[in-house]
Amino acid sequence: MSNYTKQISWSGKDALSDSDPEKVISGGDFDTEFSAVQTAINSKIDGGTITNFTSTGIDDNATSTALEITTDGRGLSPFTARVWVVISGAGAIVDSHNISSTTRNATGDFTMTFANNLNNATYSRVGSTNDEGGSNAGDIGLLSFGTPTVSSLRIETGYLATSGSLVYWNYGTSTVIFGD
Amino acid sequence: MVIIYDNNGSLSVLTPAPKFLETLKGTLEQKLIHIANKDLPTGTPYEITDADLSDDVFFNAWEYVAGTNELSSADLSRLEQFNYNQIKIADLTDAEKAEFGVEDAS
Repeated sequence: MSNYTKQISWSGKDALSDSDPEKVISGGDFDTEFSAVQTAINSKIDGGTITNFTSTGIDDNATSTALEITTDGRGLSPFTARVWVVISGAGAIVDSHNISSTTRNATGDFTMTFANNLNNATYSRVGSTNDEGGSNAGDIGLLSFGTPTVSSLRIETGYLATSGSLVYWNYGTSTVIFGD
Repeated sequence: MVIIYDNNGSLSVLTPAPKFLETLKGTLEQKLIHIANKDLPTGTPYEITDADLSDDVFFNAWEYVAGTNELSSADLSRLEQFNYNQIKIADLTDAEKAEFGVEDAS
């Protein structure tokens, strides 16, 4: 992108004598000025009518897309979250981004399905359960992920009973995914 | 409303994401059918219900029993599959590329 810089000193012509050929405003002057305006405007992004925005970043020599912002509000890059979701203990989706549904397979066993598939399954996923309060076994939940796929990710939640065994149980959870 | 279906003899409950529902057109039932077609394997029998299935204690004992309103998930259109990134540009035919208005990355 480039900014517009005036090419002709229009007011400077006022001080020239009538006999000075530089006082004449020629068609060539208009061409020079409007060409500069055209070049600058055409290098800018159309505001208000952006469909998908892509950028190669701040390196003028970069050739690959570093960031794409889609019309449905997703930012596609290695440094933007591809998915995030907050699920209540009852399985309701409290809030989400790029999630189409969650499926309760069993107690403490959910599958989150992405609205738009990721490009590969080697994405980073981070999750946590909500603290249910209190100090008894089951008050603090555990969370683990199943094998990731490009379209979905399975979550299992539970707690360690005083006997030391794992008990599957529904906890409110939060999950964030970064990847391609 | 939720979608219920059989999961190897037990019940699975699919809850649509409210924000995703907002992106779809049609009645709530039409939106849920779209999500079933998108998120369930093709040919999965399912029902749409407004029953309260939030119980934790007995959830694993529940089973899916086909009712009179049972539906079956179908394939999404090729354009919908492409828009959801389920298929890539390389998977499209030349005719589909022209129809969908997409070009190969240069």
